[in-house]
Amino acid sequence: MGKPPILVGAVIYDPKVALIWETIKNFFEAHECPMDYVFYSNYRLQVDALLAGHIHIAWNSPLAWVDAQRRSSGHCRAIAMRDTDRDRVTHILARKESGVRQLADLRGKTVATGAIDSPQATLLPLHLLRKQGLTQGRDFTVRRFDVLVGKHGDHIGGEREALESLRKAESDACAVLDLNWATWQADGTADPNRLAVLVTTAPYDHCNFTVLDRFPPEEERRWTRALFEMRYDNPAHREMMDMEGLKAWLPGRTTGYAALTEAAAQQRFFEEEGA
Amino acid sequence: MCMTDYTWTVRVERVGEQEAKVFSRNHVFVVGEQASFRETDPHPSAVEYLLGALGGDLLRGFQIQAARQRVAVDALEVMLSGRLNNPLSHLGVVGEAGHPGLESIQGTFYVSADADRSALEEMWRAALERSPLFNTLRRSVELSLELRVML
Repeated sequence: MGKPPILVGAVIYDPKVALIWETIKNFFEAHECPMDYVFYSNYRLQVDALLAGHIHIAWNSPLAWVDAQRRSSGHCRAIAMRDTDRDRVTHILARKESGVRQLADLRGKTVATGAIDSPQATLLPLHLLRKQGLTQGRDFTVRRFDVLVGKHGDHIGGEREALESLRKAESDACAVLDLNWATWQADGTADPNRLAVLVTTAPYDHCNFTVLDRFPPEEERRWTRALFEMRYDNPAHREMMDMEGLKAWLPGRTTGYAALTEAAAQQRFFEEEGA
Repeated sequence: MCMTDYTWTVRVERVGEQEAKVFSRNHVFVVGEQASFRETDPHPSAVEYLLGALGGDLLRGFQIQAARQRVAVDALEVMLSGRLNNPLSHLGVVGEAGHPGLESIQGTFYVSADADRSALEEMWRAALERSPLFNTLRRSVELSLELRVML
């Protein structure tokens, strides 16, 4: 009998996402590093499972990473991430015709955001506005689109509804991830002639594969060695990499989560969540 | 032997990691996944066989009714779509509510035949009344079937 599989947790919201993980599993099997996946309906359950040792590795959203670090007193490591997880930014958009041209113009206005637990479409943009002297409830009203809460905005449903609300002039601004802004301009969902970027956050990092400190380093090396053998120029790997939105897997880094850690603390996100 | 005791038996054999072969009287067919979320597969899934079986049952039932009424049928076709209560439960997603069973089946039955609408509706009612699968599924699944008469 070979080594037992490394168990990797993932949050899924669509059955098609399971196909990506089936491909990843087959890839690891072919590279003599057996792995299996465990699916969770929300990140809270996945972080519980990681901390309880039910899974070895968690494919964590940035907020789940912050939560895992918080609940393990900093005893987690980020071992890998996608190239596209690094240096993301969020844009706050406004309608060009609306007269909202600078942040101060948002006073008394409505800002549409994604789900309450979306780092890119709620927590980080609200944090940026606060740092710029605009506090929600006092200086502006938040119109939140809580679609599939618990999945940390992965499915982008709330973010898209926020954009739609801006487009229909039901809100005065909205927050979108740079990658979504680019996609929505390209596919016609957003009209760059009618919308303008009001302000942009500093770069931050998105998802990562998280392990507890006690995960054996040799197991980590075995797993990441196989992961980093995935190549975009290999047609057998490309489809999965396109579905997962990356061109290369990179080592994990944790320098890109400071703003989100601050935002979650300042907005008392975990206290409000009852954690 | 009383006819109510009549039973059908199939033998199903695992023939691959993702397929099972069904032996039924003088027939053999292959079932792939339980429920598939891929665009293409080597074989239909169990859910698709169920939908296909219902469709075949309804078409054959209608054809029998038409023959009895001596109505010439030009074309018959049925389109069926089934939804699970929660596909994520089928995938074993921890924390999901609901169940992996079929929640609903919607379908449209298209008929083009040499008869007026009321006669075709009567045949449709009779076909549903005598359909083994319709009468099994309607007890556990939200079934919504519409008859559409084509010229």
